Amino acid sequence: MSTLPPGSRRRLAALPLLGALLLAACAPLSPGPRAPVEEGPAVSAPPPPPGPAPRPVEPAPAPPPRPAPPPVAPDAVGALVAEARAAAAAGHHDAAAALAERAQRIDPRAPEPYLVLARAHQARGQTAQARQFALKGIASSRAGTQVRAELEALLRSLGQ
Amino acid sequence: MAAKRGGGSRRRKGPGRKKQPGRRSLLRYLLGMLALPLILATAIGVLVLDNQVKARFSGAKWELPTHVYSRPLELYAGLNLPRAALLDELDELGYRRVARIEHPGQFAVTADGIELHARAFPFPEGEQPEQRVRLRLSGSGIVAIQDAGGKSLPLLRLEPIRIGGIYPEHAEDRVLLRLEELPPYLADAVIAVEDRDFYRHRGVSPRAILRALWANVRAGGIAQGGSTITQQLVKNFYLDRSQTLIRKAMEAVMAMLLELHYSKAEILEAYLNEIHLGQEGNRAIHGFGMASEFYFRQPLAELDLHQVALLVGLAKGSSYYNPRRHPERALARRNLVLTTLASEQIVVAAEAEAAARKPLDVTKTPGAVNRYPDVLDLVRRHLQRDYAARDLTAEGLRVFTHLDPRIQHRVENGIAEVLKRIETDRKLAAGTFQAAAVVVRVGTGEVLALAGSRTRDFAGFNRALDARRGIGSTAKPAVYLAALEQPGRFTLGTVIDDAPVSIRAGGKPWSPDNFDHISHGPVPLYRALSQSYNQATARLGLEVGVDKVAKVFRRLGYEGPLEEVPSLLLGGVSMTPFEVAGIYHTIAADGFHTPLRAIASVGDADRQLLARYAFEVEQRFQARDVYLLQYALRQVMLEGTAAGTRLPGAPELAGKTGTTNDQRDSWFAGFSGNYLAVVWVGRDDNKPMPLTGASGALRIWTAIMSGLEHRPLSGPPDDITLAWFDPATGNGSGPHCPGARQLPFASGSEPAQEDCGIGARTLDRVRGWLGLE
Repeated sequence: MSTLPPGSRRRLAALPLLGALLLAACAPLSPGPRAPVEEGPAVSAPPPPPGPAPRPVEPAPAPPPRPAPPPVAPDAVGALVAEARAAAAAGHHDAAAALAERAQRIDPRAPEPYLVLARAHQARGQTAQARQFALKGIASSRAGTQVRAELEALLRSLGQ
Repeated sequence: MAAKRGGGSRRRKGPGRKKQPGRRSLLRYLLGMLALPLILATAIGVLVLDNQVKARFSGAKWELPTHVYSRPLELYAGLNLPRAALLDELDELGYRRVARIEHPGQFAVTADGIELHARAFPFPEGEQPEQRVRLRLSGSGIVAIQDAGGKSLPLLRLEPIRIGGIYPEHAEDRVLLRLEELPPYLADAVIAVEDRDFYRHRGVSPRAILRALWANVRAGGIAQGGSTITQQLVKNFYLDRSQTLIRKAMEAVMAMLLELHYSKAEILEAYLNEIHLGQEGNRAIHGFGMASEFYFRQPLAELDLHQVALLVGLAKGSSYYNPRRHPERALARRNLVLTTLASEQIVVAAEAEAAARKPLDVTKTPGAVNRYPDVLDLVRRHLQRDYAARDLTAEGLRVFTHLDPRIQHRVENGIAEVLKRIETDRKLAAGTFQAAAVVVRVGTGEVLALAGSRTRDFAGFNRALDARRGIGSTAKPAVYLAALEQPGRFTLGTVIDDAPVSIRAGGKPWSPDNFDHISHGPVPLYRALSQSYNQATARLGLEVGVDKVAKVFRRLGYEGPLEEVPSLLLGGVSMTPFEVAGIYHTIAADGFHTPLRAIASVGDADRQLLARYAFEVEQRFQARDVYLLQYALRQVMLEGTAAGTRLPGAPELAGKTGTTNDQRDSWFAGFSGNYLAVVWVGRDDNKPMPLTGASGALRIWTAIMSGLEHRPLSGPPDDITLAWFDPATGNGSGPHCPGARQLPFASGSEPAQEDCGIGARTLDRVRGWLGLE
């Protein structure tokens, strides 16, 4: 039979309580009220007797922030963006925009196509639309990246 | 200097002797008097006919319908596309599965994928050449694309599917082809069967009539006709169907006039494009180009001998020899043509015999029919803003849309199956409910699918565009967005009292009730939305201001009628499903507004680009505020009115249910990172239904969305801070506190973090003892 020092015994006695507290904080609780309020029974039930509103039971804590989704088909998007840039360099801004739109369709989160679209509109003198695409690109890009810097520089050059 | 011409009389005077008028000359005189007008009339008639012949033949010969195409399918490594879906697409495009690929339009199935000879296609921004590729497939989609030399390709764009047309009143459908685009023996075959003397006669051929008679007697059936190709063309082109002698004479004269002015090649080309080769409803199939698509869903250039022979045979009577209705007649006719081709030495006898052993190979359903009338309706309406009605039915425009047939089929099947199931389960008469749905690509606003009724092929009342119905709680996100735009006043954690509200609006009392007739007391803002509490929402909206909420509707993109009254807060505004999709798209696209677009571009008959319907965006809301709203809409799916919605394999989605008063309308609008779908279910007579947003529209929405490959919603923007929050008190909390929940806040608006009176360090120590760290 093992003996424990008195302090350990007290600690052990406290364990169930603390454990319960921890579980309350970490483990999923009840999934919350499932009966949707708006989507009640097909035939309306008589209203329940009036009384104090039940205190809501909280569901599990919200999941931590999601990591940024991985890029989709970077090769296909990259190839279209490269082609779009070449078209823009040759002065074919409509073609550049069409290619950027194809890239954007494949990965709506990729910021590069927005940069191409913003520049294509800038080249055609459509400053307002160029600015909007730059804003969209900035919203789709991460701080500190090259494309973000280019988008911000473009936005500055367009005048805020 | 102009020379004076005709000086002096050049007329010779006859001998001065005068003839005595006799009986014979009197007769001649009288005859002359009669003949002169006759000759004059004939000459004038011929001149008129000549004018007619030239007028029609020299200008645009036909009113060409507008042809409408689906989106082109982009294939690339990493694309999640089930193998069956790829095969369906190839089938829709009329690709033939073969053992060994010989020409474009064919594919072969290999051990690890598909080999494909993709066709060339004149995209409006440029011709795409044909390409032989290998697609390596896995269970989930495309792993790699290689060209014939084994080089890796970043992507391959298939040609779009022709999904229908906008036709002139006479509903003639054709694809114009030039003589040089036809299979080499097609023209020879037509000449051999229809008019052997074509290159020798001058429009009319008495010999041909006699020979045709003789040939028909010998063949024991109608193998040849008596009219020349030129006469047949004249008959179709200029004259009505009556069989009078005068009309026959006119036909002969016009045929000769046509031959006088135009080359044989021009006449033959016109004939091959004009000839009537099929009928479906009131849509008339003219010319070999369209007939090829109509019967085989393949371009004419790809047809084999047995297919060409069938089309040539149909010139005799496309109704009598209709290969879908009378396959045995069509087969006999085709084989008779093949025999003629062999006897005329146009093809080798052995080839003709081999072709005669083949089946008809006609597709079950005609290609290029208007299979998606509701989508075409939307396309037509968008085109009508920019094109005159005549341009749409006569100029041979090519319209490239964003329609995705795979998603469209999901929408049509989803509506049909779910409504049927609901009606059966609830023992209601079939056809009690109607539905409409719109699917949009998030970010670009491209309309990928649209259904205006539960009936697939029926162009009737397009509810997606025209049914303006109350939107109920589907409107609530506008209220919450208006609130969340003021982070100093409202956060997702702001507690609102879900208790009776009563105000006077327009002289009348307004006191909304909750669906379950229960007041839920103080609730955090995100929960009031996810549970769709009416009283809390009304209270919040009144605090924010009805005018501000109305402005949010406008900024989201709604342009229809709207009254700034308190009931607006709970959906007292009527919208079409298309309009609801428009406002939800702005929410799904993180606050960037884009008008919904059905059309990508329009090209003309000469394959030149006429107009691009370019992608445009406008930031209408801060990404931060929309992110907060999306958080609440995600809770709708997790714990709110749409809890329990299961989309296997999909990331977290966001959405909102909507049910109008007395359950007359059932709505669901929801989205992932790449697809937004809006569904409405209701009755045309606007009677109440035993359905809510969740038990009606959401079920169809789930059926549509569960088959798609979803991307996650946007992550939090830089100006969002996650903080711990106690839903019970609405105060800040801490990670170790019971019931604490992490919520996103506009940075700076997050509540002070607490440790709940239990020293966090103590808790950490206990964790250490328990080995939980």
